[in-house]
Amino acid sequence: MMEQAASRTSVSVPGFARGSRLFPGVYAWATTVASPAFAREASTFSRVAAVAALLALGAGVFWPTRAPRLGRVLGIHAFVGLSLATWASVLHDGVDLAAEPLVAAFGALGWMIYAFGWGELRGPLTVPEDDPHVIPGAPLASRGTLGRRATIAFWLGLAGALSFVVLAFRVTRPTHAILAHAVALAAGLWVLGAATRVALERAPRPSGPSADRIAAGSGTLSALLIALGLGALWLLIGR
Amino acid sequence: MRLADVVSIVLLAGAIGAFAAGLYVLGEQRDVLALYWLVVGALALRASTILLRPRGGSR
Repeated sequence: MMEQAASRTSVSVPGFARGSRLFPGVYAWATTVASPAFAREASTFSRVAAVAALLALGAGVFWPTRAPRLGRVLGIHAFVGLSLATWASVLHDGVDLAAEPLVAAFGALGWMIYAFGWGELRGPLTVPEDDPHVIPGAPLASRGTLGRRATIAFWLGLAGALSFVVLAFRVTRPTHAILAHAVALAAGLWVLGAATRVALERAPRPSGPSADRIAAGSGTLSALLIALGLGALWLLIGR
Repeated sequence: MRLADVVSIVLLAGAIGAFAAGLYVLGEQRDVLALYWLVVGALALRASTILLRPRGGSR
């Protein structure tokens, strides 16, 4: 039984894994590194660094699996480092890094897929419970359904975070639009985090009577009330 | 639900409304008012999570 389980866990697809690292990497290299490095104005150093980056990628992908750490150093650190060196050199040579914006955009997509390729995924045909390191025991039961507070807080946070993104598109001034999108993103993430905490912090963890809990937040609540009071004053005096 | 839970959800809703108002008035080119609403939103959001941990933030 154990042998059967071990044989199932050892099923791997190195060809697929190598392909998912090599092809996006080569595509990203060709569109964003080789393209400017082999421009007419580029220096020899830029071209040498670009070729070295490609060689590092190939070496990292095909490195023997007995020493995976060195393979990752070559395939990730050396490839990215040499690509950066190429870009720095190309910029020094006065070559435009993104002469074709659409190609550069697709190259950025290639970089993203390349990064995903180096991640660890559960291989097909493998069962997590067959792993020899698995902790035996009864499956953990879920804690049950979430309460009304959790549902309200979650949907409130989600709707709020999405509304920020929509509202940010109303800002038409270019510099302010960037600020609006940055604020929308930051506020959305913050609201989602706070909504999750409000939703999941359930009794008895938030212990103590309500009066104590509200008193604990009195400093921030006071600041909020002062800000609201100032706003009301501004509304009364300013108009 | 206890009172503090209700207050925290109300503050969360208030924070979302304040952030939305801040972004809305930023689109209306009223920058100072936008800044004001963003500050109010930040304070309300901070208050909504502080209410969850009354004992100095210890878990």
